[in-house]
Amino acid sequence: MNYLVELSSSCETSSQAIGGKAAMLAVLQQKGFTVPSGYCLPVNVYHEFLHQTGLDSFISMELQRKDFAAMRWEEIWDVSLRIRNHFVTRVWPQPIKQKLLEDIRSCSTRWPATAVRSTAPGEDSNTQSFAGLHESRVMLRNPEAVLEAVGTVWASLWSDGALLYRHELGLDPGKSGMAVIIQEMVVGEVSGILFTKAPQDRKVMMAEAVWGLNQALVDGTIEPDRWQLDRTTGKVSTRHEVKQTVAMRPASYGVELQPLNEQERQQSPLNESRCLQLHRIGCQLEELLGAAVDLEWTFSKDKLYILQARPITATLSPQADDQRPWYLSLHRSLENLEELQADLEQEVLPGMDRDAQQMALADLTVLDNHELAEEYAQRITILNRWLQVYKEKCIPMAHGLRLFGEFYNDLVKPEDPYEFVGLLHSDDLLAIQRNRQLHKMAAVLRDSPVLLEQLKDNQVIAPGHPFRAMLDEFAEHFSGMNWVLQGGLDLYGWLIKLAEEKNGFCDSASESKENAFLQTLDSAEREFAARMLQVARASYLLRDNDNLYLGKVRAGVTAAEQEIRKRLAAGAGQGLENLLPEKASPNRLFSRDESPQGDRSTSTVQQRPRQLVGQPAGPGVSSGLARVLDDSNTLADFKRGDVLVCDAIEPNMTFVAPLAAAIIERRGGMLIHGAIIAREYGIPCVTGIPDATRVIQTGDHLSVDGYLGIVTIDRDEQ
Amino acid sequence: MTNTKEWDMVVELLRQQTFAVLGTSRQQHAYASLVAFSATESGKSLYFATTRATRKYHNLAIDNKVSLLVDNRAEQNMPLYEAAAVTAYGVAEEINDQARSEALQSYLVKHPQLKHFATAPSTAFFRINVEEYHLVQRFQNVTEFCINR
Repeated sequence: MNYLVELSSSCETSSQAIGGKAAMLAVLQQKGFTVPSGYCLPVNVYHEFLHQTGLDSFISMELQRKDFAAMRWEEIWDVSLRIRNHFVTRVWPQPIKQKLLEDIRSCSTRWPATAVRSTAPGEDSNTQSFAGLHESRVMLRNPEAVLEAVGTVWASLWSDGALLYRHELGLDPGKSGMAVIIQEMVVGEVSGILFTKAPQDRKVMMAEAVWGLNQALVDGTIEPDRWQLDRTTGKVSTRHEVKQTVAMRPASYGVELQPLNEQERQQSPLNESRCLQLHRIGCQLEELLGAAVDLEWTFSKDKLYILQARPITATLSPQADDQRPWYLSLHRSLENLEELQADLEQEVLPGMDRDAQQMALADLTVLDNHELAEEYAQRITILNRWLQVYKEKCIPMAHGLRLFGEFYNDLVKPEDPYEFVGLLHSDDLLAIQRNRQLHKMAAVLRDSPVLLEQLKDNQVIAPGHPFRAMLDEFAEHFSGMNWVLQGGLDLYGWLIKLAEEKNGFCDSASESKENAFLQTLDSAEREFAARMLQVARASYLLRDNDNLYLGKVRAGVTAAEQEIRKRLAAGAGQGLENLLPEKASPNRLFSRDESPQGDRSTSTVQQRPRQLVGQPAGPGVSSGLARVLDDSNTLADFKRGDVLVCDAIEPNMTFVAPLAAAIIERRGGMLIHGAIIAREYGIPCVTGIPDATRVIQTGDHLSVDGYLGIVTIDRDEQ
Repeated sequence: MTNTKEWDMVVELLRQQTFAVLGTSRQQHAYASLVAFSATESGKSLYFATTRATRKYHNLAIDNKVSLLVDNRAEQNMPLYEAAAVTAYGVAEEINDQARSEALQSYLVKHPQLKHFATAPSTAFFRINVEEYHLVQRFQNVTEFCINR
């Protein structure tokens, strides 16, 4: 062997060299526990690979591009995706590849299939648990696939979850390394996790179990049966059984969920005999390790295998404001996302729409003040409920994009890690449909000066007029979207503005690359890829549309607020005085005086930014005058060719996007609303510019590099 | 005084670094040379010394507009994102009056080993009256500072 070290001979090797998981399996194997046979690829090979390929400097560049603490979770996803793609596309140095393949061939040909698992030094100690943060690959059937999986597992050292967790623990990512376990794939009939001290009740043991492989349990796709066992006797004390219908099992391409047979459906994957065996092993491990343990196990042909074991992380009790569990919950399996998609399409969005419609139809003017106050309170309750649903369901759905992105990048190995976005273009985006209809109406006005004058005079367009029909159709489809209210412009005003633009509007054309992509795959991959793509497209579409539906609900609250303000202003608002939130003065939030990085004029030094670095979110280069949206009324001044600078593109603001030369957002990430819209229209876009609306002034001449994520404020041009 | 982390970085570079690259021009051609420099606390003035026989001295006699690059290079393998550089733009003037002795004193606090060189009759002592600083950090982040005089 050149690189691989047999697990059974590794128990003297330090966990710094082979990682905590491998070190533990080595000890267990030496003590006679049944562990799948396997080898370890030590962490020094990872460092050798990084050094020889130059990846170490790429990772350093990615990590230091921006202050980690200033990044939103979406930006951390992007960093992780780009680092992962460096691993995927990097050509293996020939000497490492040759030696490693030789090793893999000599060990794995004895096995029907191989599993590749992460084992990072420092993980899974008494105070840290990286469980679920790094990747594993299972059911690999040839040495080349195993080699590729090694790269993917190495890359998972930089998963967004792992980056966040290291940051939380104050660990230096630059000093991280990853070893890999390459072991025989044991295909169990029943698998699960044993907690020798149950998380909820540390006086009992708890066994969780599913049919088939335990991947579906670990990633939360299948809810397991949970049996509590007496810690002393192993006797079953409580059974919580769910009706399992599917199991994760080997497929022609990796693993997949398969329906259970009738016999399996009728019984629990656990029984008393299995529980007794688990209890016995659990007690032995506790004695060996001197601590309570989590144990991943599988039964194959009635033989119990330990897949991994780790001491229970007792000191990591979550803080009340700890967002990490939520971040980690954003990772969903394909099956989970398919379910989520159905829920969003069939329940959530129609529900939001229903509530919004009801609010839009209600005539607030007929309510007395008491009734209006109640209606307002009810609308806020409804909005808050949907905001919570948005966080729990809509944001995790965005993971579909990334899941497909990783899948696509693994297969195609593109230079541009965001090439996959080209497959997701959809004319079904509500914002695109709305903009298209607006521009169609503007074109009619442009050809009809009489009609244009009528609109300018605020004349009512007579029923039966074709343009009236277009207006009605627009109102029907996009009613309640409060961009009209927030933008300080009415629909007529905006149409007149669009009509008076010299140039018409062109939709961006995006040719479907789906066929080209799918044709490169074999039939097994193709079926899986088609499902992935379907979920990714839904995710892309919903990522935009859910914002618009939420905007419609919010419009209901705004309408009630406006009615309250109207009555207060007219002196008829008795009982409504203290209902409304303090309205921020237009410039308060964006005052340059408060800026930590804006212009600083003193008697000695005047500071101003020249070049700002964010995330490249829409390719292309453009320049123009800045239009900073620090007050929604400035939308009215927006001109074609301006560079739109904003804190975050609100979904209901996107109608100005097609006119922009470029878009700059303070919020970062490739998956945020503004970035999606910019890509749809082919507009250069840079996101994640800290304090963008503070440091850039309306009228600044900007050069926007959407390839590199750089914004230059060119005052010499002014 | 400006109190931002960017300005602090400029001040720190001027304080910590001992050498800088002076840019002068000759027949419309840029000319770079390494000098030992010092800076006033306010950052308004930078000082360096050169003998009168040097190219830079001749260049300055014809065109006194200069730039001075100060950076934090310490080793070849330093990560790119840790690199920081500040470029000063301004006008250089040779000082011979009373100001020279005060400036020279502060210059020699930073470069005591250059006493013999800096006080030699053949050495000219220059002050750069800084008009602007351009700070580059994290590879592409650029901030400008106008010095009000």
